[in-house]
Amino acid sequence: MAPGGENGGRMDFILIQTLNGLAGASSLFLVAAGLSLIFGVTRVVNFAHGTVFMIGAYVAWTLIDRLGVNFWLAAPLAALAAAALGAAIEILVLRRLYTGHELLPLLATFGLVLVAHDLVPLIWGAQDVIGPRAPGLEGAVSLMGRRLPVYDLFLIGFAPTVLAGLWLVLHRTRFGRFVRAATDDREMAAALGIRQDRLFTGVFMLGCALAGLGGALQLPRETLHHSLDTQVVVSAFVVVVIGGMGSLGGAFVASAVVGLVSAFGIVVWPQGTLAMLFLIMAAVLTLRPRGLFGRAGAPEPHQPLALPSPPATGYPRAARRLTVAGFAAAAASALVLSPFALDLASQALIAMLFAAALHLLVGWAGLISFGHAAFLGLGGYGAALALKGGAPLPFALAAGALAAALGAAAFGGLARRMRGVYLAMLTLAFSQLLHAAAFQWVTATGGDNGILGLWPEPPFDTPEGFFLLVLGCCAATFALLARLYRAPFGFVLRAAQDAEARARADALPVDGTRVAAFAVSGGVAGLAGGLLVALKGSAFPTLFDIPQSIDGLVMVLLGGIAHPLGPLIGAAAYTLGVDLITTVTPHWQMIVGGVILVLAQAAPGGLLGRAARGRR
Amino acid sequence: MTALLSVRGVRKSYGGTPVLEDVGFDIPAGEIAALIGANGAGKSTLFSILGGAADADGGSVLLNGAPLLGLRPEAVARRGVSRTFQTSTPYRSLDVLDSLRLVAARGGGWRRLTRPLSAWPEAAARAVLAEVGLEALAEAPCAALSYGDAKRLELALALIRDPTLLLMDEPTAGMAPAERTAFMDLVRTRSRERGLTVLFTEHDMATVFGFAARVLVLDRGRLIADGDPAAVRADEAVRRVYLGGGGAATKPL
Ligand SMILES: Nc1ncnc2c1ncn2[C@@H]1O[C@H](COP(=O)(O)OP(=O)(O)O)[C@@H](O)[C@H]1O
Ligand SMILES: [Mg+2]
Repeated sequence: MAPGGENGGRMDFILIQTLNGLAGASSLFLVAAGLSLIFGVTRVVNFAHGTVFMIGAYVAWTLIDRLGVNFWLAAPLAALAAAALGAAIEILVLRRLYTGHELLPLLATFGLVLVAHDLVPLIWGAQDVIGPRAPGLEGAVSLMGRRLPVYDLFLIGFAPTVLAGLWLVLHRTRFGRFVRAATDDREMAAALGIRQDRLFTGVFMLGCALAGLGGALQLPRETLHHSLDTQVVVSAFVVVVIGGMGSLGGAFVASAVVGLVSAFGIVVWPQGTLAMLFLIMAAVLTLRPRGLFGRAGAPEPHQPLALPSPPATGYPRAARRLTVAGFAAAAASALVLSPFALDLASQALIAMLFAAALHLLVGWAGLISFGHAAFLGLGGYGAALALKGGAPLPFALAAGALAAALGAAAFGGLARRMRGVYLAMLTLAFSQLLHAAAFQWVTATGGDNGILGLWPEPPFDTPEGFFLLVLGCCAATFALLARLYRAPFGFVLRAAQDAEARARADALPVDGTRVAAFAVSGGVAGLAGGLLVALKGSAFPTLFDIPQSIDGLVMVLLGGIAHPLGPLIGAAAYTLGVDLITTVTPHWQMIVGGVILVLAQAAPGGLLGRAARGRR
Repeated sequence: MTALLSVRGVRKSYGGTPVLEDVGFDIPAGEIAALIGANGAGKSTLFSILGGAADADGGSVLLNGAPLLGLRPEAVARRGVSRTFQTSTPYRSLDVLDSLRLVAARGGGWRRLTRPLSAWPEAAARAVLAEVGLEALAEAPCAALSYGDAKRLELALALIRDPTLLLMDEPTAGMAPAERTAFMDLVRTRSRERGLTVLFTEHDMATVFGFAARVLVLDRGRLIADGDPAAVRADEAVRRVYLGGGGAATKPL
């Protein structure tokens, strides 16, 4: 296990790494506590929380490095700046989205992440920034012959102090009473006459201030760079989910666990640390579906909201005709389009497959997945390995889709009790585990170097041939999905989403149908993954990346989750839009994020939102 | 004589607060029984336990001698238990006929994946729609139903599987007296024709004493009376905790 021998004694290694881990847990706790508070009160999963952390750190750095402010003054100032940012996010971005689909605020905060992703390097530069030491705590103490920074000891003591402070705020102030009421019992909160707008703004300010402070306090320990945001928010999610959404004590314990696992993992098994964390999360969720300290009465993960999420009426005939006509036109266009355009069209069609797969779960079954790239990747690697072994492309695609379908069915079976954000986090964990596996299992996957040289055989080796293959896969898949949606399969999914208790009491096979939905959705995503691999000629662990999963959600919501054709329109618009923007500017994320933010406000039902509402 | 439904020593508490304590009773086949009690007495909790939606902390429930506790709601339903909920929750994205057809579409294996619901038999759905008087609304979206019609649809959903035991949680709450009587008449007719056993909760005493052959009284989680309506009405304990204060039930019906 621990390389105790060469480090001179096992005990001191364990002690130092424990203290190290607890020090790291401190700012993680601040971020996670903020995330948890915000979720508890507003039910918003704030994807931009890591971004606020990062901006808090940059603000503190600017104050210290550029303006000569003392660190101990800069940190609270950064927290204030973060609080202001939180207020702006709540008032300008989220306020009008609470009555829409539960994923809408998530989408909007993801838009913020994208914008900040391009904006932060423009403001603060793209290179890493070394943080200053904390004045007065520069030294180190000697412990069992090893040196431990005094600042780490300060951080270890700081987290419980913040926990105690938060406890006092929650239990001794009016604001705190309102926060607890809103977290535990929304009806009671309404009865208390709480003004929702002020409470939500207040809790966003508090939550973001904690994140900003966490960022500032991490400066003396860690180099600062502009991709810290996703890393931090994902760790914070893990903490909050392990501890239980809305539970501060849970966040405290879980951040210690995560901090310790990270500290020891770095030494023992660096590449596997992230996977290990997700494995712990998956284990906790399997045993305690609401996390360690999540209470039964506390935040219901799935809150049905005003906008009906399932497509209102099956696949209407008009939509089917439109799709068929679209496919005929697309096939004909293969004769006239340039190879470049065909390539782009193939990409758009593959995105449509992936979005349709996700829509089956998120729209029809009401099961949220943040990790659908897991199945994209399974299909991609399945196909890649088959191609490498000399299989013809159609066979390789089928093998990849099958592997993904089996993986999805197994996952769906294990996660069948999970709903809402918890299920979403478990899917995310699953995709991260597979990401780690693809990275680690070098003999099979080539690790970071990927699998290269996967070129399809004739007749699929030309842009036209490949495009027609993709088109055929799409046509077959969409025809199959349309059939499924009109059969009892689709109706059971909708009924269970509308009224799960009722559906079970009516003896509808809810669990079995949901597992089947996972399998089909995974299979279709796997087919998309196989085609993507064949299109690019290579497979990399990035297939499993979180942004792949999020892209899928963006496509579904962009097109309109309540419309059967929403994912297709959304995928086409997103793929072509991003392609267009990247040719114009390298800052495409900022533009896409801005478009998402505007669309979330202007067309919360997506591009086809109006059409979906009209049909009801 | 074994009862159709036999409940023994059922206990349940939420967060240390007892909600049901040692509840036990028998209901013979074909009987219509009412479960009454103030708000918060534990009626809905008992129904959730009988239906498999909540776990009891202890006790046993037998249906025709076979244990029900520990079964999932779907499994309980497949054994012939139907239930309606206190707050009616129709399938808001489906229409009336489709939701009935869906519940009636049993078996079918792989065809459940491929055969359009519109091609599944609809005779049973039409028949139960006629039984509850909703024929005219067959094509209506469930979300657009009036309150009373939604209750009727719930009853139709519960009856279409031809259950042996029907649990109804406050089925007529919010209905006008005439509508109440009409609704309960439907249930009584079905019970007489097919031997359906019914257990329902109700706050309206006229409905309770007009339709139930048997009344169970729950008070803060304890069953304090169980017998025919006249005996329950005369019971001292019941008068004291529930019917007292000159309420409707103290007057002759
Ligand atoms: N899921 C739950 N969690 C905590 N307490 C509950 C829950 N469900 C019911 N209770 C409590 O149990 C008691 C009985 O509730 P219920 O069975 O709904 O009563 P009734 O249907 O007779 O009005 C009430 O005090 C209620 O607050
Ligand atoms: Mg009740």
